[in-house]
Amino acid sequence: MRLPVTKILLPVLLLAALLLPLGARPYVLSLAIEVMAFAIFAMSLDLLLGYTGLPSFGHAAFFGLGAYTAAYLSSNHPLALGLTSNLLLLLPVVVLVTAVTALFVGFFALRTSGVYFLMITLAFAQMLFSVAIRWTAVTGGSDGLPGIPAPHITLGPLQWLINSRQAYYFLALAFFVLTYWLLRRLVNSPFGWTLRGIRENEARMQALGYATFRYKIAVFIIAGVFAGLGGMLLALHFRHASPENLYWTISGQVMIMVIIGGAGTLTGPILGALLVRLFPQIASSYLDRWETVEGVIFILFVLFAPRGIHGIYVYWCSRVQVFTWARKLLNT
Amino acid sequence: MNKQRKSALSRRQFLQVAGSTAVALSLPGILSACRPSSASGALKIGVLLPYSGIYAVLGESITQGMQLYFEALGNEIAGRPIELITEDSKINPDVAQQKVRKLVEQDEVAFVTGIVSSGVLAGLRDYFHDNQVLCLCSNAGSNAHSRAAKTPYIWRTSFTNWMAPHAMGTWAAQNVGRTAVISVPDYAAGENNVTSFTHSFTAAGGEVVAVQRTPFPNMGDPAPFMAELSATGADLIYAFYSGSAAVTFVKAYHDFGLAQQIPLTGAGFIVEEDVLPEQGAAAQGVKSTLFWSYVLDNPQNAQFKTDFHAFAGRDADVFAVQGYDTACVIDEMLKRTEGDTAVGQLIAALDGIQFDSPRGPFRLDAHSQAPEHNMYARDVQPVDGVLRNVILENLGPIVDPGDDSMG
Repeated sequence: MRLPVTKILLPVLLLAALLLPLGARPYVLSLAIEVMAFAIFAMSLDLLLGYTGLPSFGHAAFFGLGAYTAAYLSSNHPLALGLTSNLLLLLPVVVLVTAVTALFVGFFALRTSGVYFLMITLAFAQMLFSVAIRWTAVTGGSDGLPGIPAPHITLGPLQWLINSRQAYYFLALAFFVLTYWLLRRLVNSPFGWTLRGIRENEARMQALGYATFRYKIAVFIIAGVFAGLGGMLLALHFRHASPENLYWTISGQVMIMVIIGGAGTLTGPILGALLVRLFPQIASSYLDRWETVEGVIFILFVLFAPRGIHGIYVYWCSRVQVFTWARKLLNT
Repeated sequence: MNKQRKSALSRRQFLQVAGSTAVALSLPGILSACRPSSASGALKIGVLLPYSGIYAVLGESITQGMQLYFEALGNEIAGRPIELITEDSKINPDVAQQKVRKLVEQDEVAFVTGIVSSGVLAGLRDYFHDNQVLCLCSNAGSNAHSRAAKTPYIWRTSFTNWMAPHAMGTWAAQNVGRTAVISVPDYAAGENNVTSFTHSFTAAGGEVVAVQRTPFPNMGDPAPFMAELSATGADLIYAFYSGSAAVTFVKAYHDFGLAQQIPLTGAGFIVEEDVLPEQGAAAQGVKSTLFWSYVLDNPQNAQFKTDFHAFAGRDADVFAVQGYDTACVIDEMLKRTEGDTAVGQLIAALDGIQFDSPRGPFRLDAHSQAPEHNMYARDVQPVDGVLRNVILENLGPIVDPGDDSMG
């Protein structure tokens, strides 16, 4: 028997998440915000890596682009525009910028597959990183773009100024839950099943009459947009967009999140983000050689749990099932 | 039958949700019970430094410099025991963002010190400013944080990037040559060096004929850059590199035969104690400006070098001096406030702190919120068989102008 995840676990987790600000220190909320931003980012990569079988090694490009777009629009730093920190305006611009960029990149990159796709996405992301580091007059160079004010949501006379840690936590939570819900709907839709079809056998999907290139472009754009939203959330929280957000190590890290968590599951990447972001933050306070421990954990995953945390969970459930059957057999 | 089954399930569901709600509601109590009591008299200092990655050596030296000083005080200032809480920020602004929140919000430190990378300082600047947390920066030298991006909450015990190239510009124009080519890594600190050196070198009658910007953080193959420098025909090279890039650059400068052709000058980090052993003979004759040298002759430095060697089991370097001076500033500051750590008190106490440091006279300048200290022109020469930066000339005290008027 599979545990009824959606019926019990999800409401419980949601309730716990809603109640967290009551007891947790601001620092814990800050960690939670970071994890949620990265979870959104990891889920977006899962669309490509897990569902469509597209190993993008440059997904940080969109994460960083979201961060920089939000920073450039809202920061009061002399280099930035400082136009608005109204989320209702920031959000559509971030969506637009990341979508157009993803369309452009996807148009070229999606003509390749496998390792070539991996290399070309990496190359593109590194190009954006170079721009961020070198085009100092716009991006602030290696110092990044600081000076982002607290965001607000203003609609006519109504205004919600998100200037406390708690308020921002709820905002991030809303983004996170909405993203999960939307992506869950997406992967369970005919569109989502088409993506799985492309992953399994693209030629066959084409033979069936699917214009697979269009599907791939579409999912590449969707993944880019959600990655951008994750980046925007992180930048607005730290009040700073840093070039590290664009660096290939972040692309690699988000891949690890998806793989450790369990590719093609959406829930897995969330757990992956939790582990990959939280472990270093906590372990480095107590251990000198924490990176070694982290490496060993990753290797153990590769050796013993190639299907990630989600895979362990499914395996565990099936074991429980075996026990249930065994008990039933003994009873009869 | 079907109906019954449904209702049984929902009761179970109800119980589970109710149970977990109870747990979640009791969570605040559990968590707050874990908070440390604020009644303890320990004075917590947050130390945010890279202890892994390419700048781990800097983090280690700065920490040991601080520990050395505090140990001599019996780890106690103004009757309060000192507790250093160290966190590894790497050189990643996002990691540092969480670490500073951990130090301030969870460990409830009185103030924060450390910070090696300017990128990290830039990222954290608003956090310190908005939350009114004092930061005593013990390395990152970005000019902006003494100028346009200055905040009352960030004071530096290290230097600003402007200082060494400013001193070298004047000295090189008078002592080395009239035309110069500049080579820097292509990032913010490199740019600080270009503007500062150009300003003082030009003011002293020299001319900068070319500026070379090399890829950062990895220079890659130095050969094309050496050819370019050689082709300029300038009287001297001014270079700003540190760590492994300094080793690569200085070795290439020697191996490509430029050493016989065009003198190399630089900001002191290019031939500091952390890179000199690896550069070896290639570094001999490189001239640089810095606020300290291993062979600097003053009683504080002599004592410091002996104590540091006994404490750490290796020779002191400039980063250890920065850590030592930071601890000394903390000591002076807390003595003045009599152990009070209200941020307003601390900042008021910083103004005008001065003492004799291993680097010579040290004074915190309230305008630039950075030190005023001597600059020394130095030359790499063997001393008792070991390559050291021999002092050529004491260029006197230098203080950041606090604005961009001098480059």
